Amino acid sequence: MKDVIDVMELQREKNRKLSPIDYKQLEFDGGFTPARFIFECGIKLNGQPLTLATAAVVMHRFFREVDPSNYDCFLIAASSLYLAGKVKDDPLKIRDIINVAHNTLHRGSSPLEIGDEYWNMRDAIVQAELLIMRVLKFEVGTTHPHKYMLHYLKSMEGWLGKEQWETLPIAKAAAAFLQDFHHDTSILDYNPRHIAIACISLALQCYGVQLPLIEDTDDEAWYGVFVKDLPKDKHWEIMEKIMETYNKEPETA
Amino acid sequence: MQNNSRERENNHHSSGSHSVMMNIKEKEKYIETFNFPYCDLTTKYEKVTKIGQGTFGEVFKARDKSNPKKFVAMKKVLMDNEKEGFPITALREIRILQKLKHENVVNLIEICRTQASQHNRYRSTFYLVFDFCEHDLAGLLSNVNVKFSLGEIKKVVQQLLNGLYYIHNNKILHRDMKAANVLITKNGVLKLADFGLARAFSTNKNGMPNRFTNRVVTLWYRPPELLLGERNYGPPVDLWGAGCIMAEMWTRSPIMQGNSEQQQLTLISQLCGSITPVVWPGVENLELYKKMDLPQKQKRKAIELNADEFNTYFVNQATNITYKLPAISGTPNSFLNRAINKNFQLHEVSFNEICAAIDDIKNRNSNDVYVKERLTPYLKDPYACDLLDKLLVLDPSKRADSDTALNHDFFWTDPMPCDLGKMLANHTQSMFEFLAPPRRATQMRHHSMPRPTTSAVQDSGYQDRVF
Repeated sequence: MKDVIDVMELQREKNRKLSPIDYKQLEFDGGFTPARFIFECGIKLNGQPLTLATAAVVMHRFFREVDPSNYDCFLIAASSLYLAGKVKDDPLKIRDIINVAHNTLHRGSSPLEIGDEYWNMRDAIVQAELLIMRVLKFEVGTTHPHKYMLHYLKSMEGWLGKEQWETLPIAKAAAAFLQDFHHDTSILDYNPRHIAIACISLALQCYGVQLPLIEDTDDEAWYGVFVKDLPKDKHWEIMEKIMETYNKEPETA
Repeated sequence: MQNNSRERENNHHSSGSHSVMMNIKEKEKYIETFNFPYCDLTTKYEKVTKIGQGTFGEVFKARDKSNPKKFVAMKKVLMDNEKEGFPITALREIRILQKLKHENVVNLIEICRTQASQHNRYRSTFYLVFDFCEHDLAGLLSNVNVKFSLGEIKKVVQQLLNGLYYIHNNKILHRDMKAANVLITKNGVLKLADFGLARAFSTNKNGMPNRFTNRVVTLWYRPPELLLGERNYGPPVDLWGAGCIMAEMWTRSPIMQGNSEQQQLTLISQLCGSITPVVWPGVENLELYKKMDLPQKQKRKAIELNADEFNTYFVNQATNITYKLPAISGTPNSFLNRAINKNFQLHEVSFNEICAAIDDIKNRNSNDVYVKERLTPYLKDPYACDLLDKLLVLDPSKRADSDTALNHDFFWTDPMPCDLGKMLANHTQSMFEFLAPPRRATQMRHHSMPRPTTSAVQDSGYQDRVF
């Protein structure tokens, strides 16, 4: 492949130790911080991947419509999770959301007692949910890249041959890229099918996989069988956006 | 809500509201005047009259102030459980309606809100706003002056199946088919409405059966699989309802008006024959199959509604009774004679069944005889009988789907489906079940019959019928 990514650089990055983020120290950061918060809370809540993706998309769309400085981004994040659970028929209990959100913001603190603070938070989440829906014209469903990605990956399994396919974690890597790309608000800017392709491309490059029976030329790309309307520069642009997302991750102590 | 990030975190858990910078008055003002560019105020419409009421809430007819010729129906979103936020059922309904755009599905225009103010404790109410339809099928059928020709009936059923074909193709189950949820415009265009119980379905999730709730569909239109506790169901539940509605086009009232799940199953058995593993393989595995009392030896007569079948059925009943109690009064002699002559296999009849049969005869209410008596004179069209026969099939896997039904000869033989607009033009009053006098047994209604006291309103030549 001609466009080479510095995989080693990415690998080195991975080696550092992860320690918990102190969200209270972070700025809004173009939506990265609330998105990170959604995924951390959502995973603790055992939400389905599509539920978390919906929550992130709802949150990003909301902050595109309003001035972010007017809103508590963690409240909007928690409320987006609650709403996404309803949208995806993967209901997350509001009490669980409050406890998880509270504990994630105030690490090590004991669960909220049922009292004024709890009820205020609950009311705030419920009211923010109505606010979000009104701002988004009640259009809270999203077309996810996931379904396209699954379809492409399934086809590629046959293309590469099951044996070789199973030796490489392409699907896993592509899925991880896709989930992580939801931290960035630019997920809203691209066609879901194109995002799916870019995630897979990135995974292929990371593992140096060359698909058989097809030459990457200037006029033809490997993904031409799946999408016809994705120019190479656009393709590259999305891949760059995905990689940039990783640079936004806050340095932790 | 005007605060910077530093105050934001201090504030986040200290109070439910967002601001430390605004006092209460300012905050109220802020909420009252907050502008939602995609969610208009209900004040853009002017309420005309109430046209519906049920478990789902209230429905109003309203006029678009910016275009007085344009009417809409406004359905209130019930927010009874404020602590859980926006109801998941309403959210489902909205998402489904946003996705479904079809000539035979009611069109959602927008969602409006009321102004948040002191009077509603700064909580808006939401309304779903739909294109207005002048009638519902239950209302039309309850009016004796509305007469459908065979061609017009075909048109209604065809549009009903068209709507179902579209929603099922989009992987949506309606789950509340009934005549009152079938709207008809003054031009004769049918619209499926009330998606309050609808949900998305997938055919096969990793081979895992679905676990949907079976507490759906108004009892009289509920298919046997739901009554027997099936949770892994699909589009056939709606086609059963379509069959019931189709038959209703002739009978003009619901064909099976049970007052309990048990009685509904009995009525179904009497119409469609006994529910057994022979006609419905696998039924014995349904949760309630053993718990429900399913009448045995019922002949399927739903559809072969001719006199002979009826008599045979009746002879069966009579025979059972004569076995133990030959002198029961009121049993026509001719039936007894024929029963004896035909030498039915009486030894298979248990005492319980006999008692049940006697009860059956004693309690025989209008429902039993009435299906046959009501249907026989009308349902002369052999194609109509045949299509009904394919829709009212006990085994959901053998029930016709909407595509098959639409290809049925019923729709492709003379008289062909014909436009309803002309016939409806004779009626200048809106006909809704809600506004109609009680025409049906009322025990199954979700609500008592309210009598609107508002005076009739005249607009666009349509009068809202008020009794």
